[in-house]
Amino acid sequence: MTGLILLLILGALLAPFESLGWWAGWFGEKPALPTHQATGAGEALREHPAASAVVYLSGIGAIDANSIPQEEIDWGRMAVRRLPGVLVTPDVYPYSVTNAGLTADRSFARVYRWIERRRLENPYDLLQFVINLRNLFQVAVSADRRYGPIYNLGVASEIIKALERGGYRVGSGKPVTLIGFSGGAQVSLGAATYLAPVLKAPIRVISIGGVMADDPGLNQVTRLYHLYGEADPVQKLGHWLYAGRWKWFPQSDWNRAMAAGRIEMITMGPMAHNGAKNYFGWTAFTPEGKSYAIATIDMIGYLLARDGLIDPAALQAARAANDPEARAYEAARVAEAAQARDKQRGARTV
Amino acid sequence: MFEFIRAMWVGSSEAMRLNPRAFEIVETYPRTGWVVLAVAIVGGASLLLGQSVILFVNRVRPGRFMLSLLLNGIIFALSLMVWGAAIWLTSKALFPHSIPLSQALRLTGMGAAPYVFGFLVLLPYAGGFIGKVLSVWSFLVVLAAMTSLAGGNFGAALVCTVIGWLVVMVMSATIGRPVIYVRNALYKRITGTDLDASVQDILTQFATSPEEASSKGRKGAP
Repeated sequence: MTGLILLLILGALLAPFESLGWWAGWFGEKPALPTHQATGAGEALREHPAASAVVYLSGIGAIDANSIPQEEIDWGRMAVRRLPGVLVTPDVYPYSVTNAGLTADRSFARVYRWIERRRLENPYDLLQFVINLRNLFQVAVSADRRYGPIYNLGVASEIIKALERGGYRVGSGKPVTLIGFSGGAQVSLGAATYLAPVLKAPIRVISIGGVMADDPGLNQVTRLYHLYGEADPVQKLGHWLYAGRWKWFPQSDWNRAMAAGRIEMITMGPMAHNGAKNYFGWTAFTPEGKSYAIATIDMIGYLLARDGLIDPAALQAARAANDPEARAYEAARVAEAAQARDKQRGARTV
Repeated sequence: MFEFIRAMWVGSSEAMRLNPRAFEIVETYPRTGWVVLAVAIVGGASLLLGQSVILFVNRVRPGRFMLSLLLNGIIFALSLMVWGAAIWLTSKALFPHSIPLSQALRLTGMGAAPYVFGFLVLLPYAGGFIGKVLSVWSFLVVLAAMTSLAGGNFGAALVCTVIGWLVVMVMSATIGRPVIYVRNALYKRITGTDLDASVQDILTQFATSPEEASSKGRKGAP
């Protein structure tokens, strides 16, 4: 137990070095910083016709921008189909200042690759908590006022590059919405600090069960929507851990944004942070008969349409077109879950 | 060498427990001055490691980074000695039976013992709080040492420790300025930078649009 605690402390102590060393140029590469002009990353591509862009920052289970928990992948695929007319940018890894995934050229890449293989075989493998912890410490770095400005600058720079790759033109002023799950919401807020002035565009953050600090990025966001499940105690951690979110500090960035009406708390009913009843769940349903995954996507669609970022008629049409596929997908997941339960029961009786 | 490290370990751990015997233990070791000096240097280096964000922000290179830690250790040890001297002066001025100078210096040096954990200030989220705890803890160690030296007279020890600290503050803002200048020049030489950049500068540089930046510039213009 003592060894485990010491390892945890060591992990937390080493957490800031990745971003600090990046800034100081210790790792060879000169930090690529956001400028007020296009970086050129998107030059080869034509400007995307969409009127706004959405960037998804995954939760702390992510190994790299593409290797995220299966539930988030499936959810993202469906979200792209149900949110028409927006440029969706999924390829940002929010837990690295250089967008380098854990299996990239790193000291412990082999270990992470091994854990990734195990997770692919068994999505409930306990060892994936190593990844969660590692990324959790990076969220703490993003939220720390000493390290956050450096960490968030690196992530903001990578977001801009990803947007440009997708066909977003810096300076176009097209609104950008950052959707962050869990720790991704904190990183979204931190990155917003730089995105608003560099992109010269309105920045919105949609937090899905986000654990957020009283971040200075709140001063740069047009709106922060916090979608929370009533059975999700994890999202409350931000409120408990960061004094700036306590009501006794009315001048904090969080409380000033709250008072100005820029933060909206939206209940998602009895959703949880993890497990089958989480925000990306396909086997738990709202009273209206929507799976939790679809309900979360539709809430995002509703908010974007309300803010004029999606055409309501196009949104309705996209939902109607996607509904049969969504229903079929839900039915398949329900059947899969039932099968898994039967198998478990069978194993117990044997 | 082993005996030396052992004396450092025993002295520091007992001092951190505010055990009055810690100071007797340290005093009985033949090279007690060196033990205290080593504890103070390690404490100062560890503290700078905890606060190393300032070195990273100023892009100090790895070799210079290590040297900066050592320099901070030495400067930290010297600053504790100045505090010890100020405490001794206060006791001499206010109380009939003043404490011996050499002992005051050594025991104030043991105040660095909690700062051996200064590297923990690095911890995201908890680091700032840990830094404050270490400051209070260090003060209590010095206070306990002075109480033991003053034969258990807590009131006299408290008065001397607090006034001694105030004297150091006043001196560093007045006649101590040349010393601070030399200290800063040393830091500059060792780190290779002015160490004048802060995290706030990064925010100012990248989190403001060119228009805002230029309008801020205009405000300051004559």
